[in-house]
Amino acid sequence: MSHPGDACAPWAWAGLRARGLPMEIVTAEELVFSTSARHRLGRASVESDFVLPSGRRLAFDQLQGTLNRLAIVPENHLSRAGPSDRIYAVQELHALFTSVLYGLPGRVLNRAGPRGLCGPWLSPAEWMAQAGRAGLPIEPYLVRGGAPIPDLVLPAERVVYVVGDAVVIVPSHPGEPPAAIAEGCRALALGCGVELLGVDFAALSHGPWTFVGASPMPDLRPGGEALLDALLAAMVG
Amino acid sequence: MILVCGIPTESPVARVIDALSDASAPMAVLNQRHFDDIELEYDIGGGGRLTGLLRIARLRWTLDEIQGVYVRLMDDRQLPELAAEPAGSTRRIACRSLHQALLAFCDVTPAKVLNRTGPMSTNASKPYQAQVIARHGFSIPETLITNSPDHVRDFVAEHKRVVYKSISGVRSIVETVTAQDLARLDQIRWCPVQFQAYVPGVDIRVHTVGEEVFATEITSTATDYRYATQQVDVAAGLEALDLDDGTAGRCVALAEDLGLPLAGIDLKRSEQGEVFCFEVNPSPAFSYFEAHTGQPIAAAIASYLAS
Repeated sequence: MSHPGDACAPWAWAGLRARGLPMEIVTAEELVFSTSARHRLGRASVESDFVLPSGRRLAFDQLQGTLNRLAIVPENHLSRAGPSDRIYAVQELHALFTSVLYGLPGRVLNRAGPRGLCGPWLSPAEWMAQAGRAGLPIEPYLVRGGAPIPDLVLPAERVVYVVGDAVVIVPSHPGEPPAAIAEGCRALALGCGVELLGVDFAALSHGPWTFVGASPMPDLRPGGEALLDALLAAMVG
Repeated sequence: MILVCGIPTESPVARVIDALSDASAPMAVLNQRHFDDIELEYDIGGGGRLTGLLRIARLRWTLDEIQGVYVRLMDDRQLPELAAEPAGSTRRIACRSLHQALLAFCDVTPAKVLNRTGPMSTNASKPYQAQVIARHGFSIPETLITNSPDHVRDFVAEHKRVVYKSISGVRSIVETVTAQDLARLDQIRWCPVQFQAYVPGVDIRVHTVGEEVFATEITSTATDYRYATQQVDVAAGLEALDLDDGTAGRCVALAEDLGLPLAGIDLKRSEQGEVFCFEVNPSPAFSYFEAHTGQPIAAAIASYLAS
């Protein structure tokens, strides 16, 4: 699941197909513009099936796994609605997508939840607090009510991907992180309830592995072949 | 010290303040309408440790003095004090920033918080919540969310009486599907709509505060008892109810799973005795139920925060 401009989706699609995993790409737009969307909940089960604009039927119960990179609900088709109707429709669509993507069968990287369609989007303060509690070194992060909330803006110099139990370091930045850093990244992912997390580090006052940010929807491409192997293992494991 | 955030004259907030006062619990009231005279500053350091200061008018506290927080904020962008402020004014930005800092504080403080911002958003997708609810042994109504008129017609034919309502955090009035509604079904193609099999029975609102449970039985013939006067010209009747231990325990476990120490849980006991759960409200207006039944919900909130 991806957005049309997300270059990581075709990259992962090609890499995982080359490893023998049958893959299909479905975009957020295809889901929103479905000619028939059906999401049923009841005593027995959760069922979702969508007829995409191409006429292809997507039965979610046949999915064995999902790499979920949906972050927002497309709303271009609502541009002619009044402001209140548009806001209402976007919230309703977001609520629907949250439920559909939460109820997906099989392994999902990452499953939707109330804080985001592909995993939790935390505030900078929460990332810093969670990272600190996970044992990762952090720079002091100052919040002052009345002044703009500082963002996590430092460019990452090193990225650690957590994929299930595996930890992958960006190949272009070789050098094993200390074991405590890898363990801290795993703990951070676990604490956030995600199976896939990109954790960013930079060389700051606490050394080369100082936490500067994290994302449940990281740029996957720098992870290269090692990350594709980890994704494959997570999908079929 | 217990921090109470909101507008002190709003009924649930007022009751919590009274209950904390009755319990002689040290308390600070952060009236969000007085945002000009509030300062909040904190630092997140090693180990995620939080240190900082809160100033309200002439009083100051260090953040580690705050052992509990009750938060019930209105959208700060709609505060009457900002009505005359142009968009993007310094005062508007400062107000927004203070509230963002406050909400972030609620998420990272080790204090007890009713309720943290993150878990509050579980109510923004009712069908997501329904999937969590079902895991806790409650029945959920047969539900269809669709943009296809044909699927709706089939669902109505299957269940006869069907209601429709919103699935996001936007409040809506629950209505029964009528012949006129079926005639305008083409409109749902723009945005999928939720339809649910109507469950006849008795509405029950359960408030959980930690492990304390307060159940209220509601008597009404309206489709949506909150709008009973509008729908059937008679206000709903409310009466305290002793909930069986099994159902009470499931309510506590459900609220805990959603990360909500304070929750308003909407149940319905069907004519066959089956207990359905419709949703969990993360910021319940418990005062309406307390006023009608005398249940000490605010006192339980005060006790939870102060313990």
